[in-house]
Amino acid sequence: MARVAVAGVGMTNFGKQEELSIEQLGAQAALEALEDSGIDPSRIDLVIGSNVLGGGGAGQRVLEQIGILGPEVVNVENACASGTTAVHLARRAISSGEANAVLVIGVEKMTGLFKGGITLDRTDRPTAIGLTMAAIYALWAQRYSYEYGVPVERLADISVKNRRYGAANPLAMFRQPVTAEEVLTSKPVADPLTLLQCCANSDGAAAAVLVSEQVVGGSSASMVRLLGTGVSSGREIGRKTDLSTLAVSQDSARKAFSLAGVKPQEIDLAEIHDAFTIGEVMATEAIGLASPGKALLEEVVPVNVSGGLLSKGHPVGATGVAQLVELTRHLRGEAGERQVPGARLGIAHTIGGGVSTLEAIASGTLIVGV
Amino acid sequence: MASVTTIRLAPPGVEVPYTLAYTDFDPGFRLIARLEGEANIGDTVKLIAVDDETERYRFITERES
Repeated sequence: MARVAVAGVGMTNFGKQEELSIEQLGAQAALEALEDSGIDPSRIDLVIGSNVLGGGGAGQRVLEQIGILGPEVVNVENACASGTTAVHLARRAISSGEANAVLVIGVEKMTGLFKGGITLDRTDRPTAIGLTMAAIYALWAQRYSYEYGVPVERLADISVKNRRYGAANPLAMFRQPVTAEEVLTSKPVADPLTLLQCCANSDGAAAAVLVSEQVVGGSSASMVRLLGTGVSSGREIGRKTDLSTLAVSQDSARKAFSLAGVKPQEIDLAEIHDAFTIGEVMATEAIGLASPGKALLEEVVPVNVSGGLLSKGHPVGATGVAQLVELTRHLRGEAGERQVPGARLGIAHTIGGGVSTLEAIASGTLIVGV
Repeated sequence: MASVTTIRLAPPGVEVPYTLAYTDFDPGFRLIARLEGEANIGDTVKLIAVDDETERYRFITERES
């Protein structure tokens, strides 16, 4: 199998950017990633676009802006795991030898689309009776607290931590730290989750150039490598479904660790899907960085030093790619003020939910190392 | 009841608050529905039919029934 290097990364500001189109946001991130890679755009033999809400063809629409026309383009949608899925597919294409240089572009424009949270535009019964995204996570949070005896107030710790980290990320939407009291007294959304425990809708793009190591040749020694990826889809929620465990994320992480040939204990930092506080807690445990029930109680490697979705907002199609950008910058030692010292191995995780009676739509995991 | 939450912020047009719960039934299935009244995880609730094509059924607490 060909080894995969992360040759270049790019990312726009995340936040309300009404004046910028999907095409402009995507182009900005893609051009930065291409320049960062030093790879001539003519060598890109596959482009994977990730976008959920933009109406289709996002990859081609961005490429038209930057004059890359003609190569194979695939657009993927896998709910909140879309960006991770795009990176995963790029990894598969390069590993199998079918592609040498892949440009992944994740982009989303959400401002003006929704009043409040994402509305799930579906006709299934759970959505129709009021199962919002926040409600899905709230049901997990209640069960988690019941199973492990962790008070739900402790979830505020995640918001406090991520907003503190986010203050050091110039690309983040929110750069003001918050206190636990502010989190717990913010507007109630779905018990026990309050507004400051929910990520915001956001506009933004992230891109990466992934290449076969043969393409970069001798310069690859210090290059960040994409060591393993995994994507899994959710099973039906039934009586045996443990609502305090993200089985779908356990699955995707298992695949990624198996490919990467490393163990959770070796990870130095993680970017984990904190669309809601409880999501980070349960995913931290699912991917093996904390024991079940202990993510809020025991010491864990730095999680979401980018500020996470709670600080950056969550431009759905861009999120998974942005996580790869953050990890790559740490592994290169280029993360500035928020650098995790000596980071050599990082993991990123997303999970997308909200369909009918499935535990999730998909979960994705990426592992990178130097 | 396997889990329960009260939703206090919903899309425009949806009246809040309302409560949703997952409840397990013998011989081995789990349903999601709105809950009338207040109940906690582990409590027993009853399933009642609702004359609404979408909702179809909901849970009520012993007290409510």
